[in-house]
Amino acid sequence: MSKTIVPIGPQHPLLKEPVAFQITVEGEQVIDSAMRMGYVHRGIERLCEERTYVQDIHLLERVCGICSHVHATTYCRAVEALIGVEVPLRGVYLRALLCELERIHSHLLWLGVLARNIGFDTIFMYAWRDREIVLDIMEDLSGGRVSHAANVIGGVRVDLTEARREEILGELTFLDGQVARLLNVVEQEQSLRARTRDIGLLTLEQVRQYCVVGPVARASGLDVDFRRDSLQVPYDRLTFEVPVHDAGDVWARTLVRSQETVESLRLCRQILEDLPEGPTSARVPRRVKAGQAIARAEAPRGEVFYYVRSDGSDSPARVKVRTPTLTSLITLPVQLQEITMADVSVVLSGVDLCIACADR
Amino acid sequence: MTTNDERIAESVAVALREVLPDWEPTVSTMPMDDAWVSVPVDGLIPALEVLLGRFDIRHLSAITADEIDGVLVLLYHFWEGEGITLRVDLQEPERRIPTLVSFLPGADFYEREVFEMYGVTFDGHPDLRPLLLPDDWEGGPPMRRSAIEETGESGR
Repeated sequence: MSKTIVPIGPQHPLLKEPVAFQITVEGEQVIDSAMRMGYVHRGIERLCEERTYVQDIHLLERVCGICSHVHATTYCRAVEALIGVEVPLRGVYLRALLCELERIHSHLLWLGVLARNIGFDTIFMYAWRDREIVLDIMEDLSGGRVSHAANVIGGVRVDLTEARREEILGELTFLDGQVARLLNVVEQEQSLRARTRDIGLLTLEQVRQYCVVGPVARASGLDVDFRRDSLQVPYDRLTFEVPVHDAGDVWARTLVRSQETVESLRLCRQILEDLPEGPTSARVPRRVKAGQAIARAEAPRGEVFYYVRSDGSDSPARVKVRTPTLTSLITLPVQLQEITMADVSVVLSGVDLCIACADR
Repeated sequence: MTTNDERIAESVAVALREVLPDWEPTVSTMPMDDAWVSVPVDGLIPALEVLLGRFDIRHLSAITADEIDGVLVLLYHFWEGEGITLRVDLQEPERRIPTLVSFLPGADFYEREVFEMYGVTFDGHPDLRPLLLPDDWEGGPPMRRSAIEETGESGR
């Protein structure tokens, strides 16, 4: 049978962001794939060197349009380590609250995109409707739906009144019910399972070889979560489970992310209930001492990595960002092997690509 | 956790002294990372074999290229329950280093990015072509200090 090359992207209804795939098919069977990225490369690492430490917070928040807060937080943690300042506990808790809200919003958004791509519009609409509740809470907290600008070096600039804290707890209770219903549909619905099972397979060995992180790794049986493993405050004081499945297919990724949404809701509740009193940010010196620091965090898509080097001037001498999507993209040729053309869209949605993150 | 990390870093250093008798590895710490071991260019693969084989440290978080005091430095950030970074100072003007792809396929994109942004050649890499830059990109590696000074371009 003759071979045909099917181009997907850089602009394509299946993709939310520009990236190009060339899928070689023989009949319906995928036999090869190639990828080209860089369409949204903005040179952020280099731009960071020309802005001040404070300006960089806002620049780095724009690495990603979904997990913006975790990028700014991780960068701030690296700079705070360089300065040697400790963020007050209330500030740390509020940062974590936004991180967890962001995870819920990201996972619900992803579930909607996956459902839309397999033609299950009901889940798409319910997931995105419930996501609005999270966005409203975040907007109320910080003033922004996706870019929160909540971080400052030394803490956060947002705070909660007692009344507002109670209100958010009430909204979370409502969201608990909605997510439980959605999760029930996801776990019981046969058509979702039929469309996602046994495709996009990655074994545990492959996941380790390709240094994959986050839900994709956890769906292949790798029990890793930087919130738990790097003993970060406040996660070391909170109780949560890390869902791990070992099937390694898109179905397992769906389960991992759905269960993580429930765990994040649990975390938000604990954070709000235990929210310590006190200031939300510490006073920091104007100069950042020369040195190097590393910070890692668990973004919705997995480990995000920051390296910051200071030479003692107003601007960082080097900022390195490694986003989790980069580690998923590298496995796509493996995942696209031995599937049919109809499953390509499911596999591509299954890894939860964030191209703006990967390109920086 | 600190004592354990020091042990790992020290063990890596001891193992490196065995495979590279002429080299005295320096071990230091970096904020929020557990240990930092400096290795020579030809010591990278032996060091990696020690990490993979003896300690089962296999997760490579990133490869950072950084020009520190005029020397191009590669930092290999590993993690397996604790962070360990290998620092390699590259020699001028070759800027060559062996690839890790045959040991860790996950290093592929990291190396391609360092290649296009800093002009480092990874010997033995199966597919060393730009990752992010456009096909019609002209000029040198854009992250290099010298390239920035030559063009005088600023992102401001």
